[in-house]
Amino acid sequence: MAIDTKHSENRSVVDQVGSRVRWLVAVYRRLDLSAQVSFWIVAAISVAAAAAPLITPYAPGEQLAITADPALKLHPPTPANPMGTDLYGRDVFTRLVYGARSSLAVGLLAVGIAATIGITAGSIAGYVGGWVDESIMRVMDILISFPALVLAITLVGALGSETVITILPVLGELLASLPVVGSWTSNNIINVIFVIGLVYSPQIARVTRGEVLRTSEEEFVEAAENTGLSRVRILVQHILPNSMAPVLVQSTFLVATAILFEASLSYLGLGVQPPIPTWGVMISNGQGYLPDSWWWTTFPGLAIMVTVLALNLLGDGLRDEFDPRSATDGGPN
Amino acid sequence: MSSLLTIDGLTKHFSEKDSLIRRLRPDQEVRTVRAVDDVSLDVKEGETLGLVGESGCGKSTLARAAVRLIEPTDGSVYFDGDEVTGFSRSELREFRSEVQVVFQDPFASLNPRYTVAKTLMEPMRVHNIGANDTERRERAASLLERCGLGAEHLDRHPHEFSGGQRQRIAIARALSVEPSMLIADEPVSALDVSVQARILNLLDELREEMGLSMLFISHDMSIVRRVCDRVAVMYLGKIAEVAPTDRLFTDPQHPYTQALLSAIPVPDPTVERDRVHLEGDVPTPIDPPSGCRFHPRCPKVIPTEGWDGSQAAWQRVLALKRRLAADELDAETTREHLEDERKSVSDDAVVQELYDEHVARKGVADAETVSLPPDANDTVKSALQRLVAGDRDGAVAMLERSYTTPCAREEPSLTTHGAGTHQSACHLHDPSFVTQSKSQNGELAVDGIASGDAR
Repeated sequence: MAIDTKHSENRSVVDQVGSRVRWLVAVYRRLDLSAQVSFWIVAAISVAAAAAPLITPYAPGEQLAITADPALKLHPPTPANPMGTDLYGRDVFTRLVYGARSSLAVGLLAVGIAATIGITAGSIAGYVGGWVDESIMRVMDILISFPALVLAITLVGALGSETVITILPVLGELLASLPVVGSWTSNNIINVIFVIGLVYSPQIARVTRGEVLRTSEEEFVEAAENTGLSRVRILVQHILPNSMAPVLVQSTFLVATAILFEASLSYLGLGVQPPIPTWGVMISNGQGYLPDSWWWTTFPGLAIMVTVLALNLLGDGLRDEFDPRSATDGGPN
Repeated sequence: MSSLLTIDGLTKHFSEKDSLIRRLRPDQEVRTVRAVDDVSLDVKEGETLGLVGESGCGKSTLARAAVRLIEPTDGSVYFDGDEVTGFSRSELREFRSEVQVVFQDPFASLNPRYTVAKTLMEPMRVHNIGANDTERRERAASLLERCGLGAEHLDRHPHEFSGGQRQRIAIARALSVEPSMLIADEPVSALDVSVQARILNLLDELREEMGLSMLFISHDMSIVRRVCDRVAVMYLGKIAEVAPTDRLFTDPQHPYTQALLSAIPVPDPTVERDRVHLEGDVPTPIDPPSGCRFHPRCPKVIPTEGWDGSQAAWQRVLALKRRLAADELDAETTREHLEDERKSVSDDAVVQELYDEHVARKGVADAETVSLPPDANDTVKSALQRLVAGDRDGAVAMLERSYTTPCAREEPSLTTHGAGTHQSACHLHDPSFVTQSKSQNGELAVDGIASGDAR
């Protein structure tokens, strides 16, 4: 009997993974066409970013005007350089593909940080209530009351050339263990990630708090109290897992916003520093050459537009799926 | 039989949320919802006590406050001699393994992300039942089977089950900690009628098998009759009557219980029934009626001292008073109505029309002709004259002064009938109260209540 149960436990893990995958496939199938297309665009960009060295023969900093042909300065697109070259003779397509790495990394990591801060703060505020709720949410209100860009510029400026890692060594080690990002630990990009994460944490906190308040009213939470479960466990095991869908949707939008934000900061020269290629830096550097060498700025601009649009459409689709109240067609409304 | 759960003077008031905006307006006081007001009850060992009443009367609040799922405002609860209301956090956790709640809606009471196994094993883990997860899983499987579901369902999620199956899972969860008492909060009201019977049977079997005591909350009198040993009837946060089930159904004492019983459908169209119709809706517990909370709707409400008309006539006067106070009578509409019919539109004609419509109920189907005593007739007409003259408040005050039931003055206490197991809270059962009114009107007596003068 005992062996039997053990066996069924193992099977249940497989079953659980299987049911998760089936659930994801089911969610994808229910998305509208634009969200489905967006999903594949985001997937394609992610794969390109991850497999950058396999896609392009050049390195992002390689100056072809020096290593290959002096004529390859500000050269228009050719089959060998499909998006032309920039003033220093670097291949724009190569820099675009490597730039996708920093853009996606900034987007995902910044939202990861925003989610960590926001979900913690929001769920404590929503579940504990009272003065704890008031104090946490007022701090969040203060953060949200500054224009995001101004706040970010101030914070990045205040941090200066020091990276957050010198202040938070534990997080630094964590980041250093990640692929690609690990080599950036001395670059300003780390500060950009943290600042964007902090600036956007109130948005996650608000959504989380609202959802936690709603879920706390559910009868299964009362049923959990009735079993004698501790409040912390009720929050972590019963309330939070049932409050995450809107937070996930919000996060999708925030990844898009964070990518745009990084581009803005980098364009202003406050963001990612060379040699890491990013789309914002490319536009910033190439803008003076726009009339003659349109390819230098146009392609990174298009890349930002397509990525942000795809993420937003995907977020829209997910919101319609998870939140029937905002359904645009069909449904009970 | 000793008492297992004793509820003593339990009170739960909910306050409207205090806010800055409200504090800036001192004219608005914080409103309190008196959901449960000074309720005493006890559940004896091995017994099933029914708790019935209309929705919103505080049944569920009482149950939740009794096990401290919400904190009571006042009063105390004892379980097996220990004061639950004084329990520390760890004692409360201990207590949770003794008393378990089965909730009303099985679609809401199960965590949608938990498998059945997880749902059943979590309470065991909290209370250290079973040595390890393997053992707990075996226990969960046998519990599930005991509740009529196969062990193959252990790894499924709630959304894969029907309502009846879910309620079986919820019952299995309640039993997983080996409680000695169950509180079933309308356990079948969210289920199909065909499934209800099976769940009730299951509860009955389990109760017998495990020697459980039970507090069974319901608004369905026929279910209560089937399941319970004793029944408590609740109205607006108060207990109206408590009696052994047989006695309650054969010899109900409280007018509210009588009305509830007369509302049980009889599946035979040829049966002539004396239905007691209750006037109006359940009042809001924010500002409950003074005295006996049932008096505004009571068909047997005691007439004012010196009333020499019939009970029916007394009801008409009270109904008129209530409608006047609620601003349901409009003299101008009546005047226009008369004008349309090309009748006289003088004040006197309007008064007469209002009187005919609302007091004499001329032309109202089903209404019997009732004549008021002469002095009452005069008072009612002069009140109506005031209304027509535009002084509604004056009219209300006038009726209020002359016709207020003694029931509104003080709260009835529980009086005992027969062998002491049957109690009701009605002024009619209080000898001193009844003699008082009896001396003034000879025809009204306790016996008069049970006969058909209320309709």
